[in-house]
Amino acid sequence: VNDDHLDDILRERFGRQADPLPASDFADVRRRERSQTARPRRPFHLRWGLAVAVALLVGSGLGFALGTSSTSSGNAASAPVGLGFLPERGWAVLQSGTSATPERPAVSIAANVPLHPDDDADSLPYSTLLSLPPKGVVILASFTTRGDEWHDRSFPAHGLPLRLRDAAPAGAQVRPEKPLGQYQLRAGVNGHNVDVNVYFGTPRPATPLVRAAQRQLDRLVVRPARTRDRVEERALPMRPTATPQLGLGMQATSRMINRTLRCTPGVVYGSVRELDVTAKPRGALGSGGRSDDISPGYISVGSGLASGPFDDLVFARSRFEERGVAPGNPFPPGVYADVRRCAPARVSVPLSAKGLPGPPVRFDQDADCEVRGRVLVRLRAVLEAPTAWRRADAPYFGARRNVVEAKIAVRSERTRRPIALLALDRGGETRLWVSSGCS
Amino acid sequence: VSARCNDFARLERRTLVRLGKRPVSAEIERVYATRYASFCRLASTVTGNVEAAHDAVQEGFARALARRDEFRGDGSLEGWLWRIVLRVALDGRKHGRLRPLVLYEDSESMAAQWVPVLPHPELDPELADALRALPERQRLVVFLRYFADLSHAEIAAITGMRSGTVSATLAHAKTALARRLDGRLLPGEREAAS
Repeated sequence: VNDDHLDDILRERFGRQADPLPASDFADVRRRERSQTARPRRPFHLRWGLAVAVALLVGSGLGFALGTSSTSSGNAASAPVGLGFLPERGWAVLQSGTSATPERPAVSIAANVPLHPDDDADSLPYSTLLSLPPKGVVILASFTTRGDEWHDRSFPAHGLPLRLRDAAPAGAQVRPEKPLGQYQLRAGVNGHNVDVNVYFGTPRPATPLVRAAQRQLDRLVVRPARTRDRVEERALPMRPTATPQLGLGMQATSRMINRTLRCTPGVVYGSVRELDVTAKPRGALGSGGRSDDISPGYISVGSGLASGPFDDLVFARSRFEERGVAPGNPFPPGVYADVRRCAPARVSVPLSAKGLPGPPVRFDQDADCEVRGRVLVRLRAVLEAPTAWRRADAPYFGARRNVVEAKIAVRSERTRRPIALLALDRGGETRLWVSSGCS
Repeated sequence: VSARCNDFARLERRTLVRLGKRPVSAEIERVYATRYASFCRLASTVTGNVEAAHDAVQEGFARALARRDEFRGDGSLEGWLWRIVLRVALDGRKHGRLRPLVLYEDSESMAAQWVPVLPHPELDPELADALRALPERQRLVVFLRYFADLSHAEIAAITGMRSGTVSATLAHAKTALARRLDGRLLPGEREAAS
């Protein structure tokens, strides 16, 4: 069969399949087309407006990119307070932007690597340290004003620049699975206690790396502190206002402690961290089970792997009782927080048991929780009388006063899921809610 | 140089269609008038009946007319229309409704969704069986060539194949069909011969 003949056969046989076609009229097509184009189009001026907006957006993005590429890699905080680092070439600098006080340190961080977006300027740059490469260096400097003779002893007077050769190896390892080189240097400079922690990405940093760190340390600025007395001399006492204020505004505010903190529990393994949640109602025996160590009513959130003498991150003790607190106990009734492992956080943590299984445990209870990353801890307490939040026994700050009631809420910083809620009332009774992940 | 030549060729086609004596809408109308039967038969292999095919062709041409400014001129206008009608027919069969048209959708992806069947297999069961035995690509090309009466170039434009590939595929299909259809005989001729 030749090809043409086969073509004819196939055309013939397929042709038998063809139905008669309906009448075709292009006017029908035009009608359909008109109905489709009848949809409102964007007005001309709106289209131009959109084009201009897109052009502006692209232009600003281009400008930003060019500006970024032509700017030095060092960045200073927007609120210079005279305490912190000036960036060495190739370093980034972050400052908390707060003034140093005896109670609350100002913090400055310098790093030769980009700081992790999860890290804040006012606490340990934990996420950056976890991913610190071998040639990375992070220097954390915290500043508090001098004035506490006992405390100042740990910070020998020194002039600038500080020297890395004076630094001592620091204790608790931030990254146990891949240890960092950790050094600490303490000095009293210009009326401030300066606590410098240097983290190298490797336990044995090479000489060029140490030199680079020293060059950045040379750019530490510590403005002379004005003494507190002089400030008070200029400010106090104030005359009472002509119109007496009604109510208990100031007094009520000072009786209330309401702080939200971001705390770093100790590492168990990998990224898993341990959190201890404890509630001991009045009359419960202490941890040693001794009869002379009877709880006055106590709630705490702690982490047992701390390097310090105490495990608690945040805790509250109820009213003082002679038999409950041994003479010389550094923690009389009040509320306290470990400022080395906790820093203020500007997030909202509800004091609610929502999301936690109930009912609450009302007897002596200690729960262990495994968490990943840091935790948010909100402490709210009503005290019997106004008092200041000030330095307690290191590393704690707190408000020393009988506690009328206190609540501590704990959430995961990463997931914001509730971990625990603890409550302490006037009579020393406690209530504890913990998540199902705690044991 | 080749790329520049292609650019000029594309520009020329586009200019001819868009800026020449006949506007695009007139060209679309001309294609509709002259090739309506082929379009309708092509669509009927997708939709399964002539009425739905007629509807798909009208809708496809209406869409093409409404979006004629988007015709880029980098291919033939007729190939562009074939793809639109085929897309509309495929959507009408699959979803019962029309989806937003992608004018420059990959032709192969469209052809892959399309397994043409004879409208009246009972009239020629032997041909129906022979077609069923063909690989899908060969079957599609045979339908486009003999049922829709398209040229090799038009088939290439619709299916996304090269023209040479169309010819080769068609040759293979014809050989297979000739073997199955018992050579040169048309239905009825065999009986008469015997």
